[in-house]
Amino acid sequence: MSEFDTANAPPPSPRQVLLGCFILFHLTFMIAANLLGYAIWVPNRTSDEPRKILKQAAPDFAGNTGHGWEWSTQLETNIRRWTQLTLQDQEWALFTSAAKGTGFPCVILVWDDVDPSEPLPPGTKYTYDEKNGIHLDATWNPPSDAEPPLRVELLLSRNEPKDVDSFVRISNCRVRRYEGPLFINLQPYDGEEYGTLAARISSSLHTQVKDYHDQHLAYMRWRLKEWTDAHPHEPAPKQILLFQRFYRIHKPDEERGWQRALYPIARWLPDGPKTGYVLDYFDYRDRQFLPAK
Amino acid sequence: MSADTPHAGQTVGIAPWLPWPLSASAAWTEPVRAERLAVFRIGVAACLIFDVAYNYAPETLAYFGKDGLCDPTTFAWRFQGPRATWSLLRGVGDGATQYLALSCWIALTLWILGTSFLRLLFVHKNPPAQDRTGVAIFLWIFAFVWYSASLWSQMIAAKDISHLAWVVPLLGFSASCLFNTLDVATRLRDPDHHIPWMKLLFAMLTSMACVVVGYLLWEFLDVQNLVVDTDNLDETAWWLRALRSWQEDKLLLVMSMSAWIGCGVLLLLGYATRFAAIATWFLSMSFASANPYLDNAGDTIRLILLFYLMLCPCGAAWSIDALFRRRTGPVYVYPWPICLLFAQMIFMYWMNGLYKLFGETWTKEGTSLYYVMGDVVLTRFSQKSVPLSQEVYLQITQMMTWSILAWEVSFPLLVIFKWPRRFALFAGVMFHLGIFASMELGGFVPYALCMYLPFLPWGEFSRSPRPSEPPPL
Repeated sequence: MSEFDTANAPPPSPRQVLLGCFILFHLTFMIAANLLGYAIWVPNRTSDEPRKILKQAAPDFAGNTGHGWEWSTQLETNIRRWTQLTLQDQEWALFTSAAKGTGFPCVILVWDDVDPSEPLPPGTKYTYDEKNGIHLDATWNPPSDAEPPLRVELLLSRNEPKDVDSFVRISNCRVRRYEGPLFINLQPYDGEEYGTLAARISSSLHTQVKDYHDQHLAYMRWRLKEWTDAHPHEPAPKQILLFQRFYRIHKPDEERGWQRALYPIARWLPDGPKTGYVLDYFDYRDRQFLPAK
Repeated sequence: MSADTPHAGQTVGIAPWLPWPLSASAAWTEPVRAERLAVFRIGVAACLIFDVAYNYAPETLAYFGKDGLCDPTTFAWRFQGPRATWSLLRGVGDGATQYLALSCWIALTLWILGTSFLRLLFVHKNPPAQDRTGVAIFLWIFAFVWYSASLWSQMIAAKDISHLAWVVPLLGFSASCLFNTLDVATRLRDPDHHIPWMKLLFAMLTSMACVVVGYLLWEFLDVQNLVVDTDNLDETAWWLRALRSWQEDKLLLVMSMSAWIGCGVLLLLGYATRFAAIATWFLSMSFASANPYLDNAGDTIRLILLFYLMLCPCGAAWSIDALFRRRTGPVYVYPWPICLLFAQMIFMYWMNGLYKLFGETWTKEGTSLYYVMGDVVLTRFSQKSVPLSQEVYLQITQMMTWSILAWEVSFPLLVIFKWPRRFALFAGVMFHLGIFASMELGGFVPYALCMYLPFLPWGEFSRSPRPSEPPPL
């Protein structure tokens, strides 16, 4: 192309400029969102020595204070708005911490009235071991045709295999994703005493049920609706209990497999309050359901 | 043939204005065969159709409807300010979509007026190529209609219908008349100026219809006129249901789900491709925001890919649109979407690696995959059914754990040069296939593999003559 041609070449059109600006903006967004998120995340994960160096290089940043920290979090907030607007989420941290325990929620329908002295299904009792902590000693898959008044109905997660030792899974990823936030690891820490464990997991459970109250309730309502649609002539249950069927994954030095435990999580009384916090969480200190509010 | 195209063939799409050093890079500026974007579009659309039809559609009401897992009240907090989350499923009256529509309407009005004025003023002074309206006028119409409907919805809900019900549409009608006037004025100055009559006429008619609807609402539902008692409106009337949350109406929700699949089919076939890509992205965003607890990283990838598809000329080849256009010779597109996609891949793998560096099970112990494979919630098959001794099984999972970590952390370095890049991409495909075989993660693997499609030399498989082309990434 000659000099003459270059001089008379049409200028970039507004659309070309707009597209170029968008590309630059998006590249900047990708870089900033990824690296800033990492920079904010790292200080809380570093050991003492790197943290000491970081403290000298970026004063107060490791302590989540100071100008650098404030500016970073402010910038991250602005980046988050674009993420929310376009769902271009840049949180690429898949399987970064290996879960050593896993579990499925299950819903138990109870037709008995609430009995404060025995809040859990009849026939169950508490047990404790160092690996699983405080859990229920109950029939893992109770028969569904038990006669009233001991009648309970166990609704397993659609995602839970009938036989965990032998299965092939081809669907249910959406249900699994929804059930994910309902999971809470109630295993004891190494050497944690019974009383400390009971206090810690009760507090965690209270926070979990309160923070994710509506999701817990929506899940329990959905399972109940499924059951009532399938059994239109049955009387409505009086208590809906949410349990967790927990699988502790055996450590590499154990035989490959799982150890199972059953944890009570929450209770919903359909005939109880209709608005606000209607769920009760299970308190492991008092061994009873308490209001989540 | 475009002036900035070095090949024998036609280049479609907009050549972005880019600053140095991007403008000096052939990877960012040299057009590539349109088949690369075409196969990318086909792959994403095929995965989306299967994913939506298999994983979402059978449970539409349970996943998104009222009294289901996503009752509109359950996630109402996500749509409160200052968050920017939005979903069309929450209906036209939702505050987030209302302000989004208003912002888009104002921005697009300024854009159309600004570019029209500039062309009118500088039509004889070396103006840029004429590309003013494009898809902007359709987006303007959509934003305008949505905003008007949101006003009506909120007024009806509050039982207070003011004159704004028709004044706002009248402003839109005035703006559409102004667009027309500016184009006619430009035509008077430059006889070669092309006026998009159909688009402008459509904008005028739509805005006029909104004025009429707004006036009728104001005239007949105004509490002062009392022609119709607003307290006794028929709540089941179709137009009232359409103005409320679509999640509360089974028919509207099922129609939205059907539209999602339908738009995916249009995208797959490449018919009305730009419209299909935009509509698919809007609907994907709406369903994802309505119930975020259903989605995983695969759905994040899907939204990212649809975002690029919406902005690029992905229907230039292997599409019904291309058949109608009857282009002869090979078709090229500008490579910026592929470059952005590549940058996204680099960050996706590299950041995963960097985060994993802080996990002891990834570094010191190497037991991460052992535990992941033991997670009965998401594995494809039982860990116990693997016919290997515990020792061998542990060694294999350890080796895989460390290999994945090394590959992810070194990904940005590997892709700098040609042969390591090919190895890195091949390893990526193997990595994803391994995940698919061992874990049930919905659309994660198919969508992730779609990211690799534009990097293959699809032009070689086309029947049209193959001129020189920069090698694939």
